[in-house]
Amino acid sequence: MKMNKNHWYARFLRGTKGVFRGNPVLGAGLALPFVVVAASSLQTAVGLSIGALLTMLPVGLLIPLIMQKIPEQFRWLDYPLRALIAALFLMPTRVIVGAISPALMDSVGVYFSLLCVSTLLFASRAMTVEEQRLEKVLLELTRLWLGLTMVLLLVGICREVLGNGTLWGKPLTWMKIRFSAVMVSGLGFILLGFIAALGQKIHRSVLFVCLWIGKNGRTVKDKIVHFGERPPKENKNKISGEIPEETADHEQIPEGKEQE
Amino acid sequence: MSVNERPFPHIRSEERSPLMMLDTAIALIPPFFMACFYYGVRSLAMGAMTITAAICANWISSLFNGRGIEWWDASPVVTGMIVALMMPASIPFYIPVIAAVFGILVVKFPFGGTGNNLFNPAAAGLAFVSVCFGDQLLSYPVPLEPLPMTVDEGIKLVQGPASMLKMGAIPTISVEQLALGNFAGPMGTTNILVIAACLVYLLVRKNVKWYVPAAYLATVSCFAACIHHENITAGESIVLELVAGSLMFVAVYMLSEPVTLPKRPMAKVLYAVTAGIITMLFRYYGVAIQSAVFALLLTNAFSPLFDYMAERARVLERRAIRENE
Repeated sequence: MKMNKNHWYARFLRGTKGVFRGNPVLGAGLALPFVVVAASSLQTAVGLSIGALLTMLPVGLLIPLIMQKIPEQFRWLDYPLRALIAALFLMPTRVIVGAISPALMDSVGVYFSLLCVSTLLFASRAMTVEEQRLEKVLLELTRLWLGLTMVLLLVGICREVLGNGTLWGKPLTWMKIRFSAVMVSGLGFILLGFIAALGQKIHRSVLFVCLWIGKNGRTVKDKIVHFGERPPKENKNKISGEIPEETADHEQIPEGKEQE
Repeated sequence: MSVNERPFPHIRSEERSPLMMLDTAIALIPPFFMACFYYGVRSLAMGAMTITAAICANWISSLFNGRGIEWWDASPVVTGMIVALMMPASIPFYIPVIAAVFGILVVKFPFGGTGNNLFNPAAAGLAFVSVCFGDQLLSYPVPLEPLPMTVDEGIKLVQGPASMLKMGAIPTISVEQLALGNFAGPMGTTNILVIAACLVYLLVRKNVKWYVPAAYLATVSCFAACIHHENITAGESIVLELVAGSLMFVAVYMLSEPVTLPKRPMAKVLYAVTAGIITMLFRYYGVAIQSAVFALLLTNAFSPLFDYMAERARVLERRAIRENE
């Protein structure tokens, strides 16, 4: 099938769902405390990202399997069990991250334990995928983790460079002015908002260019509103003889057919 | 009979946003001259740089918003002037520039630009720089000693009376000095008589409703009279609290900003009283020196709530009257 530029872009967005479009932090506001408060440097961001990876993937994969084994009459234990599993995986994660870099563990501080909550939220979101097949859940979790990591790294880099004038602890000589206010959580929120806005602007710009290249009747502005979403399934019980509005408005009926 | 085919509003008053901003900008010129008198030409240069930065930031944000450059918009000029006047005259030029640019690009532009901002851009810019460069904003040059363009470490810097009050000390300044603004402080906020004269101008031009600064200053005065240091009387406490910091300046120029101020008169009074209470709470129990600015920012967030409350009260009052009839 021949694909337009806009189809490629839509396919790219669907493939990377959770990383760019539907980002768990920018779109759904998950794991905000890490991003806004804890991610104050690149090191912290990397530490949190590793911690999230080591807890999210096993927890997200194990919870559906364990839940299948639990008898129906004990299903009310669903949420406490999830919390318990998440907390269990947090302990080895703490040891591993601490072994990689003790300084990194110190910089994350008490926020590391909060990973437990975010892990549960991420796992719950990943388990909503159709069919709940393990490989699909794993793929969804990986995308969500990539999305979280991307935002964590962006915020961490911006805050470290602007606030401390360093990158990975190394001083940047060209950075003469320090904006220590960036380290305050309030400014962290503002920074996150600007990153979200920038992402939206880039998305709309790419979309505009793609649609402008592959124009096919409808206005570019109409298309931008519902871009990336799958088209709704056609109603099979539709009364025959009615022409769909969209076709009537925008698509030209070939002359030969009209005459028939 | 000719029919007016233009869209509404058909009856227009002379009170328009550009004119109001122009009036505020005119009212901000005398404090600049006083700053020039006390600290030299450097204060004017700082003002010019800040205004230029604010205008450039506003143009960039307007272009980014797709609105085009609005030549008639004097609001960035006002923002730049307020920011510059709230700074010590000896501060490096880049700090007020950063404050103005932050106010316009981060606080004003994301909400839709002129006329849509939820928070006062100048107040937000000042709050940002006071967190980033707090130490430099706390030491002021001595008045009547003209400063060179490049300020080095040799210049004598002293603490302002607001800082002294915060630390529990009583500043020893005569009434004449207080009235004339002949004491260390932000370069445009110490000249109380000039600010009062500008308030009269703004009241005459109907830019400021008298009850807004009155409610604010009355609340602050009540607080100062009730809670004050042991060594001074209630009257002295009121005078010091009103005059020592940037409170009068905020009351005249920033509190009555038409965009962030609620629309209903009752809501405006509530807004001013809340701002006064928060200012004094910040002064007594907070750590920031520019407490009025932080209080104003916090009160800005309540502005729509006050409007809603005033509107609701009006509806209930009307309903009660109708039921009585």
